[in-house]
This record gives sequence, structure tokens and C-alpha cells, in this order.
Amino acid sequence: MFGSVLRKRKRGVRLFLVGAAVLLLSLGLVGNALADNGVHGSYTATTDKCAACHRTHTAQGVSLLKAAATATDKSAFCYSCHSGGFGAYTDVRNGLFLITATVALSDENTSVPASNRPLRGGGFENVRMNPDLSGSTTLTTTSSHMVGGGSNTVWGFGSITSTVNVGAANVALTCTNCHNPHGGAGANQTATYRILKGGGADNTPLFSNGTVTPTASVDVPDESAAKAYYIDNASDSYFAQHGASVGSTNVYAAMTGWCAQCHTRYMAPMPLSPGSTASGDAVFRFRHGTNKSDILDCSSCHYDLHAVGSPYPGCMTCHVAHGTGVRMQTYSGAVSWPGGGTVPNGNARGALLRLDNRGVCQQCHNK
Amino acid sequence: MDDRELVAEARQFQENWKDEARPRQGTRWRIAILSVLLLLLLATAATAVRYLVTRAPMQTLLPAPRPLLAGLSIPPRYQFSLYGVRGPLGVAVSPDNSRVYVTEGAGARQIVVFDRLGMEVGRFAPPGSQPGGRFPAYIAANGDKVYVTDTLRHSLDMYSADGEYLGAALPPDGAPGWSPLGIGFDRAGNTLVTDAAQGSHRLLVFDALGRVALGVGGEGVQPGQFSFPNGVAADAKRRVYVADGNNGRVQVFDDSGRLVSSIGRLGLPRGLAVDFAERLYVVDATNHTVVVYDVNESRMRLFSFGSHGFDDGQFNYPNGVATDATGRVYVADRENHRVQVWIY
Repeated sequence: MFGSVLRKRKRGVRLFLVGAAVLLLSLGLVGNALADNGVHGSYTATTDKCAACHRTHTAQGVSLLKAAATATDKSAFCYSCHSGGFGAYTDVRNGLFLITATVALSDENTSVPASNRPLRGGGFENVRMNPDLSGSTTLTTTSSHMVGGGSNTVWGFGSITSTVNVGAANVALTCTNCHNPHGGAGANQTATYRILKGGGADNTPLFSNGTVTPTASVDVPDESAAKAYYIDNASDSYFAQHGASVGSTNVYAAMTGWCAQCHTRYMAPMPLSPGSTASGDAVFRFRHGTNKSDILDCSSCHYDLHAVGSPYPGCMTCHVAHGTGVRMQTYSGAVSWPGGGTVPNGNARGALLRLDNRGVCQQCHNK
Repeated sequence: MDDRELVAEARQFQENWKDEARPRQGTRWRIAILSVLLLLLLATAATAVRYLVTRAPMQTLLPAPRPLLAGLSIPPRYQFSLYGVRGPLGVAVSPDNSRVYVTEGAGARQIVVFDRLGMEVGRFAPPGSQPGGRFPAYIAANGDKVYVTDTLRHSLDMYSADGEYLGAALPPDGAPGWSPLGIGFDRAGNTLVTDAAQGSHRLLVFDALGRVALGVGGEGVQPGQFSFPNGVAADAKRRVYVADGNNGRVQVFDDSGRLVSSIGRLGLPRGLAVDFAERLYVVDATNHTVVVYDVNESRMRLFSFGSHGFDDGQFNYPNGVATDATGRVYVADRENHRVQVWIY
């Protein structure tokens, strides 16, 4: 009688062990859908991933893509996954990281109610942000790097010059101007932050307008573990959640150097009296300091909401990368464009800023 | 009057009658021809008036051909398109084939309702929501209700056939978070939902009372696991088909949740549908085509239709698909901002 009970117990133990082994094995096999993964990297010697996007001899679009003939089409290709959660949590069209509360991700607290989070880069069509510091809200994008077609001007591209030159005009942009979809875009095929193009040899140029075709050379270091794609409810700092440094590299500085590959003349020294030294340029004559090599520790005196943990104001201190929904009123909406242009005005003068009007100035300078 | 006179009078009467009858027969012919012409004129006028009022494509004014039950391998032909939608993602047909429901992934992001002729007859959206805060994805009609998944609101919304909001389905088992994406029904009345919440990519089957009857899958690449499961559909034998989007395959399960087979080598499978002839339609978004399989012949590939482009019959990142009982196939042609109607 007891023998049968013992046999049942042993069978139960065996079942438990088998179940536990299966569970552990399945957990181990689950891959992470992160930037340098999925179709964006971790290719094996006999990878199956190429055929997901490319055709070798019968491609219909540039870069041997199955179908993508124009810049607009290329972003549509990316939107197939990165819009609406059909193939990725990073919804760059809506500026959201689509999140539910079932799993803890990066630094999120599992007790946080299920809701989507604002992407750090903003969104190309909609964006959730807090531009008037009254609370996070969903807005229609007013200013963006226009990847869905249209002609962009790469403001400040080029060397300091005494002749009027605002930058490179008539540039069509798409997602792959900044990102390398294959990952490993840094020097020696290292991973970069958000698969941004770096010093890797296989990166395509950052942009081309028929006259110039600059290539990337700045590696922005990738986070080593979990990626913090989104901003939590407590802070809307770009880099706060995973620190201002990766290894010995300051990510604010690295990111500023990265942006300055195209927006060349926005990279300016940081003297004690910012803007007091004329550059010699006809348009970008006096400039706000952005170069971290001239260290100015503003945060030693001022609380800086947008650069928590970093003393270095850089591009990302004031701007987002994809798109913003900020509102520009009387004065901010009528600031002339570089070179004297005046249209379009109003919200279109948002310049990818994080706060309405010139709130970003007040955040540091407290006038 | 004698007999001879009577016969002569009768003959005279006959002659007179013949003379009168000749023009009367001609008049009848003329009346008949005129009547036919009048009917044709009235039909033409009615068609013209109908066209001017509805602006529906002329093809739709003709009676629909009977579905071709034989010749399963003959692909459908392009008929016309429904315009007026931005970034259509999902499409569904009402059980009586009279209405077509389309979800918009761009613009106002509403559910747009068309009649069979292609005329927009209404729009609806979750009450209190704004375009930037909602994202209607896949859609299905069952009975007198319409079901829509919303990937920004992480909800499965229910509407009446006329677009009255009836509420949202609760997450299964009281789980704090789910992210319903694909939606469909089997012929036993069970609701099929694909869930793309982080770490729990799965297929859920709800019975008629809304209880979870089945939950299979998990996030991953192994057989039976999913990476962003999208469209879902069932055949007459209650086998369930799931478009395993990022794994480039369609996985087939029996009604107990056992993996039966896998249809692979697809680019980015998205919307699914099974038609009256038990053919499985798979929208391959990055190949800009719809691939059709025979579900009864070991999932044999029958044909595909559509190619990349912007002309009639060409697709630009298609996503959703639906079929009806009259032999129509509706394809949400996302980046061409239209729903194409194909017919057998």
C-alpha cells in the first residue's frame, strides 16, 4: 500500500524535475528583441535573416531591399515593424515604447501600472512628452527629422565660412541615414547605441545631396545590458536611467559629437562666457557652447532637469532625435531661420526641442 | 337575304377584317420594340442616376458571379478599390457580406465602414480617445458585433455592427497586462486572439462565455513559440492558423492547441483569412503579395497574387485580408492607402 504511494511520489518528483528542466530550457532559448538583435544583428554563418529584407538578384529597391525605391518607401519598410506594435515594441511613429506590466523591463518597477512609455527619441507623427512641465501628454509632432519624405536642410553642415552658407539643402532622409539596420555599426563591428552608424567600415554615408556624402566616424557606446528605450514617469532625462557614462565614455559628449557629424557648426567651444567669441562664420557667428572638452559644470550651481547625472550640456540636453510636439508662440515661433529665412513659422520652429518655446533656456539659466 | 348573299357578306367581312388587322399587327410590333427601348432607356437612366448618387465603380453594379468552387488554383482578379482610408491595417466583412470594416493606422485612426459598393457609410472609434492615443489594428466581425484590437490601448474593443461601443474584453485570467493583436473566430463560436505582450507572445482561445479555453505559445523561435504573432484564422476542422510575424511562418494548431504543422519561408506574414473553399490567405507584407494555400492538401501552396507597386492590383506593404461568401477577397493595402477588392 505504501509502495504505491511512494511510487506516486517518485513519479511526481520526476514530473516536477522534467517540468522544471523544460521551463529553464525554454527560458534560456527565448531571445531578446533588442536593437542589436532580432533581424538587426547576431547573424550566424548560415543566417536566415538576410532574406527577411533583401533579394540578391531581384531586388526592387536600393540596398537590394525587396521593395523600397524611395526614402518614403524605406521608412514604410521600417514602419512595418516599428509602428503600432506589429513587429516591435519601439513604435517610432507614435513615439512610444509599447509596454504592459507583465514583465519587468530594464529599470522599470513592476509595480508601475501597465501603460506605454515615451520613447527617448520622440516620434515622427505623434509624441508623448511633457513640454510645458504640467504632465505627460500625447501631441501631434510639430518638428522632426522628416523621414517620411520631404526635403530637409542639414543645418550647419560644413566648415566655418565667412560666406553665407546655412548647410546642406535638399536632403531626403530616411531611417537608415542615422541607423545601420544590421547592427555592429561601430569600429571593429562593435555594437552602438540604438544601432547608430559609427566607425564601422560597412556603414553607408550619413546623407547625400549629390554634392557631399559624409560618412560616420563617431561611435556612441551601447549600453552593455538592458536597453532603456523609454523614459519613466519620474524623469524625462535622455540618459539618466542608464547613467551618463558607458565605461570611460561620456554618452552626452559622444552623442553631441555624433550629431555634429552632420550639424557641424553647432559644435562650439564652451568658454566661461558662452557666446562671447566670434567664430568667423557668416551665419553661425556666436554659438552656445556644446563641446564637452571645455568642461563647464553648470549642475554644480543649477539643477538641470534634462541632464540629470551629467554636468555637460549637449545636443540631447535640449533636443530629441526623432520628433517633438512642442508649441512655439509669439517670439519663439517667429525666430528667423539660419541665413535669414522666415517661413515656416509657429510650431514648425520647434527645432526638435524638449520644452515649449524656449523653456530649455530657462531650465539651466533660471532668468 | 339568301345563303349566297350571306356567304358573300361573310367573305367581304373577312377581307375587311384582314385589311384592318394588317396595320394593327404592325402597331403591336412597334409597341413591343418601343417598350423594349423604353425599358433599356429606363435601365440606363437608373444606372446613371445610381452612379451619380453613389459614385460606386461600374463593376460593382453588375451582379456578382457565383463563387468558383471548382478550380481552386485559379487566382482571383482585381476588381476595384475602396478609397478614403489612411494606412489601412485590418479589414473584416459582416456575416451578410453587406459591410466592410477597415482599421486605419494613420490619419484619424478610426474604423471606417463601407457598403458593398465601396461607399463609405460611417466611422467610429473608442469613445473619448484621440487619434494619437489609439491604434486600431486587426478587426473581425462575428454575428452582430465587431471586434477590434488596439495596440496602443492594449485592448480588445467590442462594437455593434453600427459602431456603438459596447466595451472592452477583459484580459485573460485577470492578468495585469496583455496586448491583443490578431483577432478571429472559429466555426464553433470561439474567439481567437494573438497576444503580443512582452514575454508572453501567445495564442489565446476564448469560449463563447469568454473563458480562456486555450493558451499556447511563448516568445521565441522554437516550434510552437511566436515572435509577434499577428493574424489568426480557423478552418472548418477548427485548426487554427497564426501568422508568426517575425519568425516568417504560419503555425497551425489543432483545436487542443497541439502544433500540427508550420508553413514557412515567408517574409513578414501578417493578416490571415480562410475562405469558403477552405483556402488560407496569408498576407506577406514585405513581399507585397498574398499567398494562398489549400488547407486540406497538406497546406499546399496554390498561388499568390499581387506584386509591389502603386497601380491597380499592386500592393505597397499590405497587411490585413478578409474574404466573403460571394467570392470577394479584401486586402488592406497599407502604404497605398486603400483596400483592394479581388474577386473569383
